[in-house]
Amino acid sequence: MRGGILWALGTALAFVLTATAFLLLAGLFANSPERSLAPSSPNEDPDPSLDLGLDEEQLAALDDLPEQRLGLTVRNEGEEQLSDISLTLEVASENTALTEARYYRATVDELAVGASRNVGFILDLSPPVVPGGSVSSENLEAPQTIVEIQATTPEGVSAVRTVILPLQADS
Amino acid sequence: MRCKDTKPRGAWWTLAVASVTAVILLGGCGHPREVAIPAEPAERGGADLGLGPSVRPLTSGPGDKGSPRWSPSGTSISFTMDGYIVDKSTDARQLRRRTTRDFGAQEAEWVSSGDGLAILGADLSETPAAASPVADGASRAVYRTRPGEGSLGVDEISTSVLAMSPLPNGGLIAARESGDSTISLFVMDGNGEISRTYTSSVEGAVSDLSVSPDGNTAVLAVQAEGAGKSGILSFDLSEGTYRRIADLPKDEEVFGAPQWTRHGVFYVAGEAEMAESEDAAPYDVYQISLDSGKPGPVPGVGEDFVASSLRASPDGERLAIVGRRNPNSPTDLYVLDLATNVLEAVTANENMEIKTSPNDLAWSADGGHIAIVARGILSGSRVYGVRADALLADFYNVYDVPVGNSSSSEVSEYGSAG
Repeated sequence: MRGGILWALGTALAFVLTATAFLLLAGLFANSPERSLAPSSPNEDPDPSLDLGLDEEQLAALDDLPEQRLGLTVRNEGEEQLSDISLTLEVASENTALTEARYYRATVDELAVGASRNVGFILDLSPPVVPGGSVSSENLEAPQTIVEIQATTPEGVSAVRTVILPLQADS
Repeated sequence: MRCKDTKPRGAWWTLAVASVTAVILLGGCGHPREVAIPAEPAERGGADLGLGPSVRPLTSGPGDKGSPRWSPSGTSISFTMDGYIVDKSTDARQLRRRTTRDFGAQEAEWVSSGDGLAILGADLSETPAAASPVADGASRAVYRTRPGEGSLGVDEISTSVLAMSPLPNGGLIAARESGDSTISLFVMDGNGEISRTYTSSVEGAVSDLSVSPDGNTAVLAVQAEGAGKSGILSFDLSEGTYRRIADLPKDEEVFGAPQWTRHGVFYVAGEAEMAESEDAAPYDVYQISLDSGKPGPVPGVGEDFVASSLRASPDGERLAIVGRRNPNSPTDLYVLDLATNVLEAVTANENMEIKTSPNDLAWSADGGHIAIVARGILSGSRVYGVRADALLADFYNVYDVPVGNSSSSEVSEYGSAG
């Protein structure tokens, strides 16, 4: 009997030690000295309870044209129901000389714990145009398109996703 | 005895099972494989720079950055971004825009001891709203930023400008187009006033220039026109006289500005047609000895080295060279100690595209840092869990490469040669 208890305790201890070792190793790599060199990001995924999912195949099929469909999966991974989730999607060019951006909005009224909801957007991904024609940088003959998606709730739960689309501008 | 034998075996078996379980728990079963793309961690665009452990980013986010220049104090850095000029503190993220967004700027240099900038860009008198980039052959002008926090105004200093270079005293020297068979230089002081002009009979057009550390000699790359040869001139700024110190083989040209050091004049040159190649860095590094006056290979740089651009340190004792050790190597930043002829790679490029234009390379005034511009070699759509302005590798960004200070002699020890 005593041997069995000791064996069980030893098993549990070994598991805890091993798991801790793996966690420490993971933490060690995640906090390598190089990490501290990166600029701080005040907006880094502030709340893991709200997840935004994007479809790989759909992203790959996007083109630099109007009426491009982008689906987004909003998932409640927290422990409380979420309501009034405000979704804002901004489409902008990598070329910062072009300040024109396109905004799209949607709202998810309620999302139960563990539930997910698909939200569709119809985006205009055509290259921005300025008076005098399209502007491109010397090294950016085909500037990438940036799609920034933000989700927030009145309670302050939020999530962000940035999609970089290497769309080839034909114009 | 049996128990003693059994327990250790059981413990090892338990440990193995626990390890496998832990691996599965930690690595594999958080979420089943879905069609959705999980956001990549910020480090993908941040900490794992792919340029070596000591390299740190000075900027982040979208924008085609270029022409980085450290302020005289080393606490700020200016650069072009999609055709306009910004500067920022090296310790902060906030950018300060110095021109309008449609400026068409190509290069900027700090002038005077304050925060003034001289800007080489599109001639706005010809093109009121310049689109970037400035088209080849288009007229360019030099401007100076106006003092005052938040001012986006500039004063035009001169039009028809070919190239410019900062002077050690905080001023600027520039070459401008002139009549047939002449070159025209002017010196601008830190306040934006043209204090001296030079005109000399020389065939060809100045493609770039730099100034010796003591400020007495300008070194000019002259591009051939017609049947002439490209070459390099040294220009005595006290006397206003020049001397042709090198002729290049026909169809070759100097890439960027020759660099004056007390160990000789260094430059990158190669066949003119190669410049249009998509494969960057088709050129070699040459040295003109001040004793013999003959161009030759640079000791310490191997025969297989493929150079793109170079820039001498402020004390003239080292050269920063962007290039490849051999045609199959990645592009890296190297520092050549001119006293010892030791070439050291100061970046360890794994997956980055380093800009190879001569303008995209800058020493800090104390010689302890070099700024370069690079972006990751990435393809396809990428998804991140941070905002775009926190990303690094997805866009051209400015990086600080610490290189240590030279222990060599002071600038004042330099002599000038005419």
